[in-house]
Amino acid sequence: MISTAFLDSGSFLHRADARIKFTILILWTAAFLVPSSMMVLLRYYAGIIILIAITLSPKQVLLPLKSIWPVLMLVLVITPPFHTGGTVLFQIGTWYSVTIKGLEEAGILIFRFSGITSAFFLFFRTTSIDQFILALQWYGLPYNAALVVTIAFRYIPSLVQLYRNIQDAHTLRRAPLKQGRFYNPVRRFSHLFPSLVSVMIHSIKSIPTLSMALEIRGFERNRQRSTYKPLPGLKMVVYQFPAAIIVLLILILSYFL
Amino acid sequence: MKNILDINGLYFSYPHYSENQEAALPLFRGLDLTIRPGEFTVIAGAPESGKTSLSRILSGLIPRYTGGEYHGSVRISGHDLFESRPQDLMDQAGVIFQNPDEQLLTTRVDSEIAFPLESLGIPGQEIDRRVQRELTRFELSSMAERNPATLSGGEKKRLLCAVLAAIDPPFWILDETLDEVDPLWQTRIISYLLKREAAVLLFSSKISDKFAGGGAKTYILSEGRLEMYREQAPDLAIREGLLLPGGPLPSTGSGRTAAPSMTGSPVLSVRDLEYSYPDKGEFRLRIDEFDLYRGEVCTLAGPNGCGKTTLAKLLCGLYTAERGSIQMDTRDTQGPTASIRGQSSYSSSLRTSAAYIFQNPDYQIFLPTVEEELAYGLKEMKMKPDQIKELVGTASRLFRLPPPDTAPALMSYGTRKRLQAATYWLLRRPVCILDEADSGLSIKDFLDVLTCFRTEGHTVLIITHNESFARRFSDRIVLMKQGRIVHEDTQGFFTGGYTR
Repeated sequence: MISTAFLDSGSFLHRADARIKFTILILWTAAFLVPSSMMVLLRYYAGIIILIAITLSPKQVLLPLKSIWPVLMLVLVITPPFHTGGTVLFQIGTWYSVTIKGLEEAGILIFRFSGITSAFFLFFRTTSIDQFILALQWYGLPYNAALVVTIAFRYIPSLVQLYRNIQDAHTLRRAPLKQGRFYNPVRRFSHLFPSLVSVMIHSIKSIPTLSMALEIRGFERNRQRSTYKPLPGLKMVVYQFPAAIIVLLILILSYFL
Repeated sequence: MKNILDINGLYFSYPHYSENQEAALPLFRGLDLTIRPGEFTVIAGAPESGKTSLSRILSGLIPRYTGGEYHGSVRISGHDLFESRPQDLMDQAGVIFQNPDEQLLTTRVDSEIAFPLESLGIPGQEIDRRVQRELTRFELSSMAERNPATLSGGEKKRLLCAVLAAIDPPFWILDETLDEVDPLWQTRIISYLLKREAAVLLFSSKISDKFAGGGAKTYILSEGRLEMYREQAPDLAIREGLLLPGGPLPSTGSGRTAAPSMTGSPVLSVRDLEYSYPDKGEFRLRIDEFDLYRGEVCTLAGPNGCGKTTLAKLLCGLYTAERGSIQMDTRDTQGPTASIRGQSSYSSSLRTSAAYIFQNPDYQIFLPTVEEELAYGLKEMKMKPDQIKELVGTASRLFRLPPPDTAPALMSYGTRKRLQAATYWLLRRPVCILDEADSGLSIKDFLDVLTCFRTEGHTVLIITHNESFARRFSDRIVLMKQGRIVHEDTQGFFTGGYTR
């Protein structure tokens, strides 16, 4: 089954205004991108983890890393050899060595990548797409561009589901394995190609259909669109604005501590 | 009274991409149709007869998106469709596509209903009133915050009906909208449509008796023209595969004369099976006992969202059960899969012992020619080339497939479905599951597929809401409700008089 990232609940982050949350998300993401030490990035990441544990559940802390762990492993393996200065901890011949400096650099990349992914995960878990789109429009994003974002959020899970369906359909057509034998990884990889081709064909075929669906639902109709669920009034922004300032101060303090 | 729809002498042909002689003929050759306000009209036609193309012409989408040659006139409430944009006609005519996934745009059920109302510039309070009204009418209130993509096929169609009811256009164009919808909701939707003053044009690949009470006019779309259907002269409908000889009403009891034995050891045996989706709330599938016997044709029926597809996917190993067992006996299987012997309770083994014919054939078809498609599974099984050639030839003849070098992408929907079934027939799976197999398919194509499997002695499990199919072609009907198999009279279910 597929679902949107948003999980409705009554936590303080769920109740917070989407515009304020979006501002904080941008600040936090920027903080991860500023050149910093591994310890500073660890503090930023710890902040996100605590928020996920409080507002969602401790079980969800590792969920955003589920889809990026192969990249994290790759970073851990290929980053150290490019930083050869300092104490050597581990060496294979003359071509692969792991130093403290190399591990630190790998740690910086891993915390940066994990932190940004987890921050976006937390934002979309606690903010409905409707509210997010309205927030983007409030910041001046044209309606058509905001709609593109909505469509992307609608179709990314659909593509995932389509890929699963196609993979299932192809799996059922394959040859039986002899009892007790393991699946050959080379064979597994060769089976990936037809599935990806099928997904690509279906996706391309869906482009005109999506345009048709948008047009019959009134997209680009010569009339001002109304809004089903408007954002709360500006009073809410003013009321919650200090939260953004506090987060900014914490991020700055974490950098200098 | 002013007509809602006026089609006069419509000729239309798509741009030609192949040398195919059939494709070179115009799709519509002088088509005429008039619909008045409040009229209920059904256009029945075989797959590829042009039903979807006509529905999209009436929505202003064709030839705008596809190109093609046309002449004649098409007017909705006086507006010339060839001169209008679809978005400008949305308050005059609403359309529901055959495939609901192609039409769902948002990530919430309530937002889906609200989206076109926002386009119409309706004030927020009025949108909210209409959204709540239609959620209640179509019993979607409990799903208001769900992602439409997670609904079952029938629930998606109900949602699209709710979207159209909220817009409230005077003309409804429904492309196979009642397929996949369970009998209770078919009855409710038809009853709702008949009470409204709006004109309704329903496209269908079968002739049903469900509309007879409302005085619906039925036309048959054949060779680019419309012909009025009369019960007294059903020859054309039977020839086009839209009707079974004997009329649209189901016969009582099974149509099978030589039912297989329901005693002895079953080919598939389910015990104490339990399964729930991680994100699907309280739904839980619990099957205490379910057996399928060798050579049997069994229909699995039940309301939308009751777990039919979930059970089917568990049976063929696409889902793994939390508890219980599924035993598949493959000992007597003939042919290439004879190497799987003994009993299996593992998902990976089930995946190679059962065939699941997806509703969308294009999920399973991905190679450039018919021959390569048919040979794919056999090559995977390391069969010898001459053996593969012989089997491919047999399957082509049996399933009436076009020449081996034909590209599946250029074949009709019905032919692609037959090709999909042929690929499984070659794999000699002991159990074959046809999920909503009759949806969008003519009775003739469905019968061809079923006959091929039956003559080989395969066990077939059909999932359908069609009473004619269930009663005529299956040995028994099993009813599911809320994730369980129930032992109730199926008559009440098919007439729409059951409780959920």
